[in-house]
Amino acid sequence: MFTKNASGKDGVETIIGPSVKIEGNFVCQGGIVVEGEVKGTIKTSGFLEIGEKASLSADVTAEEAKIGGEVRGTIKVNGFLEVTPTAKLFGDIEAAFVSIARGALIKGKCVILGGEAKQQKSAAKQKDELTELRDE
Amino acid sequence: MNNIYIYDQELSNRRYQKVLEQLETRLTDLGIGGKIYRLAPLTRFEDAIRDEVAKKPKTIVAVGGDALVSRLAGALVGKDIALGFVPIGTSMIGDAFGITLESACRTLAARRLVTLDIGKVDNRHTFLCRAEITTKNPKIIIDGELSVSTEGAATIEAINVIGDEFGYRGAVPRADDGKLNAYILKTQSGFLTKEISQSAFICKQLEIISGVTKVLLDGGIEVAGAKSLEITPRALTAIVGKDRTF
Repeated sequence: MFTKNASGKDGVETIIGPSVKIEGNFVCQGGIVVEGEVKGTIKTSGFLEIGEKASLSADVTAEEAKIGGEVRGTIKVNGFLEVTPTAKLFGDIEAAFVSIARGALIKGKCVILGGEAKQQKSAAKQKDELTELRDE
Repeated sequence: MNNIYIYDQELSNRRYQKVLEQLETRLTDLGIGGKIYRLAPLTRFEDAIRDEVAKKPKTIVAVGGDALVSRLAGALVGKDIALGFVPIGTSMIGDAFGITLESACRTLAARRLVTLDIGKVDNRHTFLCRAEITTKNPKIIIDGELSVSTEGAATIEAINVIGDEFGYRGAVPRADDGKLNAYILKTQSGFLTKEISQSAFICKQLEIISGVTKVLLDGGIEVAGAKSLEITPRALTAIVGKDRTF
């Protein structure tokens, strides 16, 4: 059943189902679930979940992410990144916090910024927003 | 003339006589009666509506099924006339608008007005709730940027607003957000059941490059092909019930 909220019950706004192929630059505000193929870029200010059978040749930016599929490209996560045992990541990773399960494959540089970096980012973001408001 | 009631062609059947009598009595009691226009088999809908719109009524009410209210909505786009609806029988649009046959008279009397988006197909046809496109090996472009394709049979649903019975995942369609919710549904045969795999996107425009086999608007209007679907924001004023889904 639908609720009257803008996003779905689980906060998911976009779903790329299995056997669906996507090419292009995808920008979204809400949560994204990827179970198919993506070529290009994905940017969301919400949650990103990449399923076990998903295959991405894409640079990915998200607020939080859980990755269980194959990703060829850089991954930037502002908050927490969870890498599950089935994940295969070929590219650099940057996140505030990372959890990597046993069995996951990662070929690339992994930068864990920690909580301070996240706080600095959110403080900078707040400052930008305040400046924008003052300008208006 | 404040109100014009357009009766669906099917309502000339005697089995609807009692329902219509009760409806007309209730509308008169509430002081919102008006001219009744009965569509006949040989009436050209577009001509009939054009004549009624020219009379500049406050409200034109579709009495009947989803196909009628959908076509009427298309005719009222950009006009300063409110759309009303009295659903007879099961109605997806009635569910979305929070209107049943029992509550319709009260809803019309309450005159709760909202401005709605409307979907357009190839800039020729309109839909109020959903466009259902049956495809094979479809390729679509979303908002001119994102290419989406899949193999095999798939149904593409472009949804402006929907009733509560619709249970797919993804964002909730809203008739006033200036966006279409596009779903790509594929049926996969399992051991005992058929599972539906679903993709969901929010967009303003869908271009269908290939694969269309059938197009059905608002569950009852079949049109020949569809190349482009888009949303026209805030195109129509409609009377809705308090139990609407948006």
